[in-house]
Amino acid sequence: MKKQSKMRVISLSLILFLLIIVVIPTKSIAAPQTVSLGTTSRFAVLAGSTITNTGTTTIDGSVGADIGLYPGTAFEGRTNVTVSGGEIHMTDTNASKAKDDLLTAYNDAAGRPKDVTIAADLGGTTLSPGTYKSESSIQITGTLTLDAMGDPEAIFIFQAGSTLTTASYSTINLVNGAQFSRVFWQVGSSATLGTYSHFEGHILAMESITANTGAKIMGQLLAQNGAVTLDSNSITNGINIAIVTPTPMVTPTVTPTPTVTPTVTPTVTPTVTPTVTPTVTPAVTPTVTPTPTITPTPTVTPTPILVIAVPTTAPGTVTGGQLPKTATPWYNVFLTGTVLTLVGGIMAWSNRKH
Amino acid sequence: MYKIKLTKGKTYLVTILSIGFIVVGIGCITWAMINIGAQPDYSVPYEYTTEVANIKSEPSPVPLAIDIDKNLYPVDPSAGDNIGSLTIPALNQELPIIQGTGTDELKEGVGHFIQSVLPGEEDNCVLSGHRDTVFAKLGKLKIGDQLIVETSAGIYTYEIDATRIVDKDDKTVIVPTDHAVLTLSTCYPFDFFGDAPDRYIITADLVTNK
Repeated sequence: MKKQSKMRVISLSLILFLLIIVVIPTKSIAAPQTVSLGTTSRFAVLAGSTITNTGTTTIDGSVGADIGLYPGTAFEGRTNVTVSGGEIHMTDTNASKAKDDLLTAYNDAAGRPKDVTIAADLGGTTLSPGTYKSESSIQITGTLTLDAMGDPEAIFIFQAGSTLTTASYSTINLVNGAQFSRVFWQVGSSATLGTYSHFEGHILAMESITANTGAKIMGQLLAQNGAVTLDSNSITNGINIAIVTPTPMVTPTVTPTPTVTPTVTPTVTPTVTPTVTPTVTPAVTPTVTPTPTITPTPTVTPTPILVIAVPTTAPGTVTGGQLPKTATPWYNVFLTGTVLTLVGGIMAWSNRKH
Repeated sequence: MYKIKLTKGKTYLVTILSIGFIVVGIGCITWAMINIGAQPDYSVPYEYTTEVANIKSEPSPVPLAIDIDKNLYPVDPSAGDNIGSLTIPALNQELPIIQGTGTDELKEGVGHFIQSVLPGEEDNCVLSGHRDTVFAKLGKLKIGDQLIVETSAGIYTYEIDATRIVDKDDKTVIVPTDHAVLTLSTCYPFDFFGDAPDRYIITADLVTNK
């Protein structure tokens, strides 16, 4: 009798234990957490060995347009990179810290349990939020659609065992609230983005990343060990803008003026207030439809464009500049040449005499 | 028998060495000649125009406070750009001013030291030139001689107020100033052969701008 009850307790606890084991992972599959990028989120481009750019590349981002390099030092074609809203960190502590954070983020993304094993080519498919894994490479030819199904918090994680390659003119299409800042590509070796392709998401590559001519990237190019190669690209990174989207907040509540101001975040206020105040006094409801102006995207990024180049002219003259070298070596070379010829001639002459 | 062989070997070695010396020597001469020839000749007599003569005849109160706009140059020139000309009436010279003081820029004319303000601006503008080409005759300039700089922002006339010789590592030449100053630097001594451990410095104050 006693033994039986003991057995029951054991079996019950076993079932409970099994349930916990089964439920917890399924729950985490249902709502995967975003991959924490740490300080890496500030960088649009981060590389280990070198950064090479050809053509004119523009990098934008409200806070995430930095370029970092560590431990490498060579950034070729830097003058043709236009950065707005970011800084260049060459082999400094910021870049070093970001590289550490990148490794953490990479391991986090790589360690996520997969929901679905995917075919090598994702072109022409539509995927819902989740974690997708390919043991070898991932290829995108044509259009890949990522459908967040109305959830702006939805996370897409792609794990490529080896390479990620997108074909020329391929596109990633984000629909129903999907956001590039919530799409992560963990790449076991290297990533290559095709010419004039359109890419969305953060690339966390173990080796290098190559963006071919004209490739447009919404997100980040983060290469742990190797190089990042750019060619006439446009890269946009930053805090996700789409979180501001819920327009219904504004439309129904516009009965009196006070309710508008608090809900509309600081960036929006200037455009709203002037249009609202004059008409509100007698009859509010029909006239107050200023919603079209609240499309958040253009107002969020007013940062001035600054061209990253070695500052050509200082705001003032520096203190203690090194005086330039203003003697050519050519007269000395000429003199040396004359002496050498003379010595050679004398030697040859005396030798012939012997 | 053995001795003859040895001298023969010696003769052979000396022949090879002498030929080697002559070849390297002629190579050096040719290389130097090509490079000296590649440097533009700026001894072209500068036409003493009435415009400049007028500037010179104006009484120049020194030092004077000239109302200078801080932002004379809306666009920063990039290295290698021609930013204007430097006219030295006393030497009959008109020299192009190139942005930057690297080897390539100094080959083209007078180099503007990038970390100094542009000509005409209210601070120390530093120009450097080779002692064997553009600034070969700089030693002949005296205090009171004029230096005229013409750029996109206007024509600026400076008057030499001091000349001095400093060490090549002197840090007191390229320094900010409280008024518009033009500093010229070149290597010293002016002899074309030999080492140049010093720098010849000319400083001039802005007297007129237009």
